[in-house]
Amino acid sequence: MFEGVGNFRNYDSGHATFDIKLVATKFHGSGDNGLIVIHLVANSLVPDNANLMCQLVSNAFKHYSDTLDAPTPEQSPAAAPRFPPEVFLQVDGVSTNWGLVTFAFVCYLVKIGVVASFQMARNPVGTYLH
Amino acid sequence: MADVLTCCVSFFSVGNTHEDIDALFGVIRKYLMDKEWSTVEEFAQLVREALQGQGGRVVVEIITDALDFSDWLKPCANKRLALYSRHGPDILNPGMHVMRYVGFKKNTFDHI
Repeated sequence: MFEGVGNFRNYDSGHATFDIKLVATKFHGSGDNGLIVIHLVANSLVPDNANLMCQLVSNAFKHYSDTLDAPTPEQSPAAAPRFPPEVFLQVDGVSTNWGLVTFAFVCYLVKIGVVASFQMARNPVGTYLH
Repeated sequence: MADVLTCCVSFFSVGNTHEDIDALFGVIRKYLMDKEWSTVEEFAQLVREALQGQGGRVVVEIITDALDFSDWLKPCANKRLALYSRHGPDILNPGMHVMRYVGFKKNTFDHI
């Protein structure tokens, strides 16, 4: 009977809620080869810092690798689906340490051979104030 | 594995973020306008439904913790590890700043 009472758009009751932040990773691809990963981050449990950034990059790569089809017996290993050799990452406003932890992480991905090259671009802090 | 890596950090110009991901969030927001949910799992399912038909596959995950990458990569994450660095405006794109690290010292990731 009272369902929907107090359910007003743009109204904040001030009650404690489970705060969620949406972060998205998009892997471009032709046709159905693309992948969108939506990360629902529990704000109250996970601090917004370099650890979260690296975790999301790692998770996104894991999901992407899961979408790659395993090579068939007829396929040579060289013809099997694999990660794209070049990866471009765009990051907005990393205030901590100029994103050096994230930068070190993507360098590590290159070092261990996950990808051949990794370009990371970031907006400087304060971009949104313009 | 070669000891020399080339990595580039560049600054995009103001306003560049209004791209694909922002459009996706707009799609999600519009879909959620008349929806109700009680749990995070229900919310995740609604987000999946919102992105159906966007092309490609969609994965929605819930993040409740993160590994301590900062501690793990601490020995690597400083500018002194770079043998060469350049920071300044890009000649071809005056509005863009480029920070480039080329060539890491040997044994940079040996602690891992």
